Amino acid sequence: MAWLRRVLGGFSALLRKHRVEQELDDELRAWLDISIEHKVRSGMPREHAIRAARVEMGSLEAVKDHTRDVGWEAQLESLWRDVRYAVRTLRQSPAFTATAVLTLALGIGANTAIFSVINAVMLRPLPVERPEELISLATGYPDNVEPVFSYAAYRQFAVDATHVADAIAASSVRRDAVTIDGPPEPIDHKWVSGNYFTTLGVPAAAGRTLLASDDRLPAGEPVAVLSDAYWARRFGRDPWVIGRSFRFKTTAFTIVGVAPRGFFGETGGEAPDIWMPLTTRPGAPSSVWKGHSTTWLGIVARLRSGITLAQARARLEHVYDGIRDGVAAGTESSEFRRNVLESRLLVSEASGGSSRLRGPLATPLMILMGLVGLVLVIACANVANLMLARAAIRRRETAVRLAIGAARLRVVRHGIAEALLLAAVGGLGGLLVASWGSSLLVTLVSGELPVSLDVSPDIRVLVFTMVVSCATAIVFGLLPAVRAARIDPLRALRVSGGSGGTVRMPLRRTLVVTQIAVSLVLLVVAGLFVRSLLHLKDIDLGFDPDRVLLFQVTPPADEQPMAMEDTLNVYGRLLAQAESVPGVSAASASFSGLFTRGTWGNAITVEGFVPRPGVTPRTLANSITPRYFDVMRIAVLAGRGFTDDDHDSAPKVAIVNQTFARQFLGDLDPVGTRVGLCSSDPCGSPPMMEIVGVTEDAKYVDLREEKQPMLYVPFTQIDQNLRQIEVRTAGAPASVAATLHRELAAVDRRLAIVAMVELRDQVNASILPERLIAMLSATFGLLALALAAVGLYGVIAYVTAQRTGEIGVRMALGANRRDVRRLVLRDTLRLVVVGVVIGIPAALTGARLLSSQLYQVAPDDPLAVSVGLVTLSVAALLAGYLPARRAAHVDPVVALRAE
Amino acid sequence: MPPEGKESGLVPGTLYMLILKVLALEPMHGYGIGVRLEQISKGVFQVNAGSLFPALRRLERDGLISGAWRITENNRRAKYYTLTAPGRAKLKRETRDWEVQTTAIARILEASLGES
Repeated sequence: MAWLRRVLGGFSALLRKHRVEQELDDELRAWLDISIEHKVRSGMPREHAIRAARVEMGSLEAVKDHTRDVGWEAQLESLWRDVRYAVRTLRQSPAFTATAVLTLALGIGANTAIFSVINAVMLRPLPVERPEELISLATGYPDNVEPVFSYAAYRQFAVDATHVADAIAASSVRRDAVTIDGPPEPIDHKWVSGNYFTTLGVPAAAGRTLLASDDRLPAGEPVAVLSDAYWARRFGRDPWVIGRSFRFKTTAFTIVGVAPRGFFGETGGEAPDIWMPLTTRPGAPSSVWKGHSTTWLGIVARLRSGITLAQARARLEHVYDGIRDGVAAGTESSEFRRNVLESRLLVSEASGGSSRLRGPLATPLMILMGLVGLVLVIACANVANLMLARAAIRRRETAVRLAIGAARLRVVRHGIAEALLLAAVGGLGGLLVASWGSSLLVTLVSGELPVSLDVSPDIRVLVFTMVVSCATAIVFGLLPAVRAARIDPLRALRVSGGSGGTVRMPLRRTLVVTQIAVSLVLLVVAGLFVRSLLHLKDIDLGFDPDRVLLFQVTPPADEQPMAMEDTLNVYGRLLAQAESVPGVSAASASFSGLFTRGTWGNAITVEGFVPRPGVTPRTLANSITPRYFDVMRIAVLAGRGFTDDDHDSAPKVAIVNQTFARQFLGDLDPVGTRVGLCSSDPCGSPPMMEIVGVTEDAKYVDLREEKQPMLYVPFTQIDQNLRQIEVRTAGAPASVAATLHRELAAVDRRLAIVAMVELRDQVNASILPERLIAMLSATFGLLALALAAVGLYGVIAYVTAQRTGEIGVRMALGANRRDVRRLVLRDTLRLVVVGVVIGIPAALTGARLLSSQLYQVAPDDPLAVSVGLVTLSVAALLAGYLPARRAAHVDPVVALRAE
Repeated sequence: MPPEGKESGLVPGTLYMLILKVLALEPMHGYGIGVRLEQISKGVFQVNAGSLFPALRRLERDGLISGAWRITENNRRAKYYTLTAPGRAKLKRETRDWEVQTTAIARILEASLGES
């Protein structure tokens, strides 16, 4: 209980501070009075008595200080005094303070920004109840991981593993159109199991969420839940929206509720507008509900209480054994069957949900975190250097303080208070820099990927910033503070000029050398990433992605699926309309787009080609309109392209790419050979098409892909719908985008244009991680270089100023300006050389660790290293040249007189 | 901690106990406590204000003594300290401990060879 009394006593003393002080004063005065009276009564003359009593008492202030120090609140108060003193001293040197705060704000801000994105992509738990209980399922095939399952597989998990976990299923978000009260409007929707909201523990913000009874076969009443953002955007938070309905394809859905604000589902980065029960999906063929031929559902499950991950895994794997057999039995492809039989179920913890971004962005973000950490090291070294310089200037002041009895601990404490204060202000500035920087990052990311990321600072980000700020304060503040306290007051005061003393400053030189070495590492790494990106950009795509606009059009809700004839008719009108817009040079349509996930692969049979036993020949395929090659600028190398004469009753034709020709026809002339698309396995005898042309190869899905065979067929001759319109523009696509959008929409009011993107953006999105890392590492490298240059300049300028006298003597003895410049530059060069000698091996070691992230660049790429070296040297010489020039203009007479 | 009793010849840590003891005899103001300590110890212990005030503050904070302003016999105002119940208990405990220790120390110091 004594401690409690002490704590409370401290508080009451703090609250009644004035009275406590007053009482202490009174008590001391009483002591003196009684003491004097005592002495007078024992016969001492009054004046002597007064003096004696004073002497006995000693310093009144000292007694008070000691008495105050009894309570803990005194420590707090003295800390407060230190901080106030620090505020005063920092305000006296605004240039120093501003430089230090700016440096720290940039360093801490850059770190916080990267951490905010890491937090949003990887750390933030799903906004659901007890996210730590969630697990996610995937299938691991021998050479890839498949995150989606068939509906039948989901049902099996949900039913057979129900005593270990509650499984929910969700499709990925898709863009489509709904009709509410006027023309169709684009929305992002998601099909989810009926227990989706209840299992995640997400209550409705209005109305109700989905129920298990909404999701059954045969489908019940179609219902839908809106996201809060969509409710606000489309309906202005109108509470009467509950009960209204909208049409999605052929079906009318009733809105039954709104999800809570901030809830985006089980997959990070997605932002659906509408959730609908799986089984209400209109027009789905029966194969979606039976068998395993359509895999489209991600599965997340909540562990039942008391069940461990290992127990759940064992049970789920057992269920998967049954599913695997079903999948293997259901396929006709022997190749796929082999793959399936070797597959296994992957069960992983999923408190952050399943994130599409985590895979591609995790490694780049970690690398960036490391790089930005190095920037902070340089920033710390810079501030430490500034503080050391200031300590040198204030040597005399510190010496005086020590000489008149300040405790060394007090001097250290003051230094640390100053550092903490700088770090706190720097940290606040850092938060500003970070909020700006991280939203810039998100704009970069989501400009090309349709993702929404919440990077607003949460408690984790704030704690991170606070810890980083305190850590930096200790790193840059402790050393200078301890050194200041070690000053020998006698020596410091004796030295003339007050600021004299060590000119060699080994500590500050070490800091600068560290900065040079670390910034060289950052520059070399940035150089490697930039080179790697340039290599990626140099890859020959085989088509021209610039000035191409892509449109996705959804046919009228009540006419789906559209009859072939109508499709031809509608697309014919759309393309004609597009080509009539001024500024459009050509328009085409196709089944699959370039650099999208929705590719079409098919087994084939080629006349004269005998496959190895057990291997089914396969190719990518696409159905296109005649002008596709003109729009994409894919060169036709032999034969001809498609024309309007290749209509449905004309002889069936096809066009292949070079790889197709080489792979299946070897040295034969492909034109004239006949090929067929298999619709079963083994292939049998499909309708054959004659190859009429050969195009050059292109990249179809990804910049880094190997060359793949491709087979084009005219859309008129194949039962495959069109999903994308491509328009090549003469000028910048943005200038005609709005007109095009309007004109296309005007073709038929019942059509909805659900997406419009530039092909260039779609290509860029595929190398987003590489571009992110190249851009940011270059930014960090330059930031590091700037900080290091400032540090170098500071030290050289200071040393040179200290040597003014010496320089004056040299000049008086006949040295000319060039000699003086060389003297100072040699000093600079020495630091740079030492930094480089340390930095190069460090950079090479670091680069080797990153080599898996580089594309066609060796980790010791001579160009990257030399560009880094040259950049560093130029910056360093610039930093050294300014003091050198100043030194060269020293007037020896003035310099010597000042001595 | 303030420098306690170094120059006054006190065994470290004993000042608190001695103050409690003095106050156990009668309530007393700060100066009086110092004088009383000196008198009783026949001038061996001289406790200055710099030691006494922090000690009084600590004892008061811990609730072992309590202070109140009163008029001295010479018509002056002074803060008189009184032993509280916990203070009395503490003094009892400390006195016992002290006796145990000093007896033990004395035995060790008086010990000679052959005795064990």
